[in-house]
Amino acid sequence: MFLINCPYCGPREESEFHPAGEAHLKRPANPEKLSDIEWADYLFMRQNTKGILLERWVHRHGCRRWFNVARDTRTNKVLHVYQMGDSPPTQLKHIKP
Amino acid sequence: MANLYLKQSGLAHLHLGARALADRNRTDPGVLMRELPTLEMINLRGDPQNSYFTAALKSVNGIILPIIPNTFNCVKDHTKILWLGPNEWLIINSLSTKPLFKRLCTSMKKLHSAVTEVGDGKTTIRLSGPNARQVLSKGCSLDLHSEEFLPGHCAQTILGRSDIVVSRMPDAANINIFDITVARSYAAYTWAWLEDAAQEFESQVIFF
Repeated sequence: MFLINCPYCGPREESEFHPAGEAHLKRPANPEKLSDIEWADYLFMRQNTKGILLERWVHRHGCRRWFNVARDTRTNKVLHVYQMGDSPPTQLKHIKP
Repeated sequence: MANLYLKQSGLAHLHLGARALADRNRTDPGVLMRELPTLEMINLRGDPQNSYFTAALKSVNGIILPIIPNTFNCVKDHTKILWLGPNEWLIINSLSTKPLFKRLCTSMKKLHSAVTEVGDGKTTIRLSGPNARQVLSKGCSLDLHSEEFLPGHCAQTILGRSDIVVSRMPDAANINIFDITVARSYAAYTWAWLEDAAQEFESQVIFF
């Protein structure tokens, strides 16, 4: 069983959650000034990280809240969980895959 | 709200009254199953840090919100307030002669909040008896150990394939009582699932 520590409900089984891809994507300040390629880049292009990835998850079958997860894509280990609006954990930033 | 005289519980089509009659001479059942039909349920959202919000709630039947995650408060035996999220609660009122919805709406009028009546879309199944915990554990990944999931605890989780809110009722005689609130459209499935899981423990259906 793969447990994820929901920041609101505590540890729950993975099947209660739903992943929603990379976190901390910044919406361009002036989207109307972007070229189609730049806009498509923002909409569709993602990192495909091998190593520690910061992701958004939602506790869909529990409290229905969104939060962020730092997960190692090589081992599927959840290293850290933090609330929306919080900054990513600094101690994980420097780890290179 | 639908006309009261047309109101039927989510499991009316299973004719649990007749089932209970057939089961009435069962000796030593491991699990007791019953439906708690047509309870008033209200989804409430608001900021628990806002003292106007909490004071307004207190003025309606003395409602106090549980702030600790996965717990519920009781008001005078007939009203339960369950924690669903940091700013979301489920109020379950079993006293049909004193509905809360309108009074809550009035008290929340000028506050940033949401009061939604959700009772007609849900029903509640009560599971009790010495083996109730084992039955639930078969389809639920929560740690339901009696020292871990205590009376007064609740959780939104999955049972079998359906979303439920499970709460453990305070019980004096130390028999486990679990209330399972489930969407009406999933109620028949959940009942069938529970009945199947309870088969090895000799289940008995109770009706009022």
